[in-house]
Amino acid sequence: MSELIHQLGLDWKLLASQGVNFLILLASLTFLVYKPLIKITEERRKKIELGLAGAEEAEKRLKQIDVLKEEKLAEADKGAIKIIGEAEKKGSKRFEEILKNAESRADEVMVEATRVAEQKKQEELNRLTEKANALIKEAIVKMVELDPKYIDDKLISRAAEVIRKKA
Amino acid sequence: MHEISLRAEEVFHIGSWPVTNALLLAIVSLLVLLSLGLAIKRKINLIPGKIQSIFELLLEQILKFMDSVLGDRRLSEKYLPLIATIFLFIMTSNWLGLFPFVGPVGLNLEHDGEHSFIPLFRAPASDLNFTIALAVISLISINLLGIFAIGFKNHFSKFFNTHKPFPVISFVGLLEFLSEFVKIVSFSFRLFGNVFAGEVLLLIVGFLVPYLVPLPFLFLEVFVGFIQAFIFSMLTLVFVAMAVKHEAH
Repeated sequence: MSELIHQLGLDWKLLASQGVNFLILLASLTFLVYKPLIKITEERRKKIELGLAGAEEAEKRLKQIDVLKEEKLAEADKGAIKIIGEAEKKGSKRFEEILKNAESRADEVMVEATRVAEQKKQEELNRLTEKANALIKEAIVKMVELDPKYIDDKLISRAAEVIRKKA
Repeated sequence: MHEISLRAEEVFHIGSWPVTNALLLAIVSLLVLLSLGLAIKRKINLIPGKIQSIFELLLEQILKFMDSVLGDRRLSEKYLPLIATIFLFIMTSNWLGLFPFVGPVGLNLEHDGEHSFIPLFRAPASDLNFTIALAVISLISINLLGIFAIGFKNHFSKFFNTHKPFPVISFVGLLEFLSEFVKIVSFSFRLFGNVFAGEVLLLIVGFLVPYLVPLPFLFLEVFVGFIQAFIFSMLTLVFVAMAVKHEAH
């Protein structure tokens, strides 16, 4: 047996050396490679998961915002239509009021103008009457001054001449 | 062609502690992996660099294999250091054993008036001390992980129990216990046999036809180096998976 062990080169010191060699490598690689790499891989996985979840959440919120925007736009449209309708109603009402006021004012102006025209006409008439009176009076004075035999034609023509000039 | 030796040659001594050429290359493998580990640790970042990406890819593949056996990513991450280190260490040492400086580079020593050539490096797995040490560590780890996972009593009740039918189950348990020691032999001799045979094959082919012909054999040994590391680590993983699960009787 010992010859076989010798031939195979078995030696407990070499066994121990090889064993220690392996254990050093095991401990070193565990500390230097496996644990840090597993940790960093896990960290990376978490970050990717977080990023994906964030992106999904952002997409979800974006969709919600889109829906909200559509709703708000629809509401705004409805509001705008309502406001425009009300404005149109108010406008037409105001237009009618303004029209009514204008008509009433026009009537008043017309009445006033008619009154003023009437008054002016009356004044003119009075003035004409006064002038006519003065002319007639003047004509009578002239008539009294003239010879009756010439009175007819001359008187008439002079009276007409005076009236034409005064008019 | 230097002499084919079943045992690793002693290169020098540290006190009474022998240092063989297989142990030297195992230390070189350790240093190579440690350097890579330090490089990764120094540049580790959330956005990975080239070395980190390669290691992450490698570890992810190992974890996927472990998931298929253990069925739980948490457990896979827990046992990753043992399985991945076994895989990386065996694969690296096997591949380093294929480098041109392994074998031809050596020392001419005088021993009892006789000159002998001793290679400075030798594939670690072509030395039984390396494979047995790994097998023993693997078996101890399997049993320790089993004890931590399901408790001392539950773990050893797989081997020593009085369940009915009493003599049959107890005998099967004893066989299971013996098979734990047989595992050491099967683990170590499988790896040793494959790598040693590969070394001998390359040596003979290289001696007979030095140009071009050894090339396919070299590629074959690259594949064997990988597959033997894979088998050793996967068997360890399977035994760990069996040990950490409590079987109801």
